[in-house]
Amino acid sequence: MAFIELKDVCIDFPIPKSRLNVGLKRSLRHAIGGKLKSSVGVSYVRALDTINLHLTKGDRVGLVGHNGAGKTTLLRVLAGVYPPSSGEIKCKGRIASLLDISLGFDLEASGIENIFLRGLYLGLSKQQISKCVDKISNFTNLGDYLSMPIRTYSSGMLMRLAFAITTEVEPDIILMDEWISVGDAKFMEQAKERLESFISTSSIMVLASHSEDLIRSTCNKAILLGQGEILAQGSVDEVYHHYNFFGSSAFFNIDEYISIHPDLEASMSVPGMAPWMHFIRYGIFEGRSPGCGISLEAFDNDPVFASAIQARNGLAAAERIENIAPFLSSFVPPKGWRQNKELSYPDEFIETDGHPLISIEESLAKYS
Amino acid sequence: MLCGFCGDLLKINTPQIDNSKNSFTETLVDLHQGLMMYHLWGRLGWNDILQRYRRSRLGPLWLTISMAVLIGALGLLYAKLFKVDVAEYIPFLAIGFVLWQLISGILLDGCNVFVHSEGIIKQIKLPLSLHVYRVLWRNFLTLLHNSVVVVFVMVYFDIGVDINTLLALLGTFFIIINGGWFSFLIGMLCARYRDLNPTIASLVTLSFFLTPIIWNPSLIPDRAFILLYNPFFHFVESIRAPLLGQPVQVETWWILTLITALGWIAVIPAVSKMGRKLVYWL
Repeated sequence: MAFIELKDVCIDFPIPKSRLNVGLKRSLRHAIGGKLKSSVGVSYVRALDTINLHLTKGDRVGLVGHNGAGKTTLLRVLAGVYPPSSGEIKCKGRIASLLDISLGFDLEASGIENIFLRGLYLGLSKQQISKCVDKISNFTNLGDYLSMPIRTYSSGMLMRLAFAITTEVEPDIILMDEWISVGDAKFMEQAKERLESFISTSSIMVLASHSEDLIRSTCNKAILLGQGEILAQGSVDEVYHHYNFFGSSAFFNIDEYISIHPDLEASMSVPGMAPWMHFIRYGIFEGRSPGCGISLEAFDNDPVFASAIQARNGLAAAERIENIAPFLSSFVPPKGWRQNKELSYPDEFIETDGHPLISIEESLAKYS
Repeated sequence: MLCGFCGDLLKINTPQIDNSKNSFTETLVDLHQGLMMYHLWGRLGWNDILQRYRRSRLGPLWLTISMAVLIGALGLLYAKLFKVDVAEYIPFLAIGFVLWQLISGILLDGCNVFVHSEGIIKQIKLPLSLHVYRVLWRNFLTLLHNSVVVVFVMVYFDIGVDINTLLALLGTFFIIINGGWFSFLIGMLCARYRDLNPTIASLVTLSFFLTPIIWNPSLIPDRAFILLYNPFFHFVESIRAPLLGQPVQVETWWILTLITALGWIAVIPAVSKMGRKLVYWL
């Protein structure tokens, strides 16, 4: 039975020191992407940080996160391309990766020839491919185009070809990166159908995408990545709510929320109840701290927060917390959190005794 | 919906990811797995050649034609310059030139073997040796095209063939087998140290003039030094001499065997060490 297990997997990309000056280093830290760390001689970008993952039969996992969060790197680790810098990876099953549509395609060769070429990449012999070639051709719906050089194809047509071949070999594990964005509606329908049929037989699918619709319709699990760390994982709904409410560098810390409010353990076990959901629905009205050193007492004098609470609008109240939190002197940012430079100083906020705000300069200096 | 048949072979070919394995045996397994994917590297190597001449009418025949033109022109010119008989000089030049094309092709392609396959290496887990076999195969196919010229020249100048001529095959084998370890090693080093590639390129150009390709080794009065320590001389000589009906020095065979043995013995541990890091250098 197919499974994938990652244990404390870290991926470090080396950057020779001479190529990385101090200014660049500082700006890189602000930019999107992994964390920089350095040891003697070589600097590293930590693209994935202590990833623990266990996927088994029937898992269709969507990888969610902003650019540079580590989605593609994680897919490549799963594909066996990047051996982990530390940690362990165990993997059983035939892997087919559809990370790059054009892998192994020869643009001057015909569609049929490319079916053979791609099949060879996937480890088939010529005889085996000959047996499948008709089925693949039918699935692509490309008809006479299959005898034309594929440089004449559109990206959508290339996608059809690549997808048809990759799924025809019946992999146990299929890895896809933004695959369907170029397909038309009819093809997407066809593709989903096929995916479902082989997912039901035994497979694992991991799909990275920025399309919420796609992930919602094809996946049954999701993982939110941010700066190379897993910020949240669970059902697609849970992860997307987390992502949409708190962004990918969330100030809301799931584990901390549960640990500082041990009385919530029972309500957390209710299906469909995620910690963030509890916080928005109940916690925020009960004055529970979301963690990260934020005390809701700090908002006692704030008119914006008060009116949100009065309107029973947990989401608006949480947004207010998110905007103010970086300026609270007691704020403890979660791992991987970065100050958004465009954040403006909340002039209208009225401080409470014992919870002073820091200036925008102090905040930038502290968290970036 | 699927051919269950496909699955079985795939199982063998899909490398399992397992960190615990000794990296030394990993390299041997890599070499073996790569070799077994001969359908793929055979196809890729041939595609590389086709691609260069896509949409041209003569296609890879251009390899043969340009070699023929070069040898014809240079042969006539240098025979005059060196004041030697054309019938003697042109076969000598033709064989030497074609062999040098093979050797320099492997040396230069070897530098880029992994750098040029970056797109593949970063997308899919395949044996690393596959890319090496592809380069060797591509250069072997080029040799076949070029050797048409050699055959033509040998027939035209009526050079006798006997059982000793077969030794040339052994020499060719030596070049290819040594190209294997060289490409594997230098390909990784060139991925890590990007200054190495231009260094090798200029050394190859230099070696062309130091190796007796256009000039006859007998021109050097004291043959020993510059020739004995030039490995390229021995590689070329092990093929050229039998083809021209001349004896091959015994020391040449010894040196070739030694280079082959030392090369592979040194490279396997080195490659085992670098193999896991390679993808990070690309």
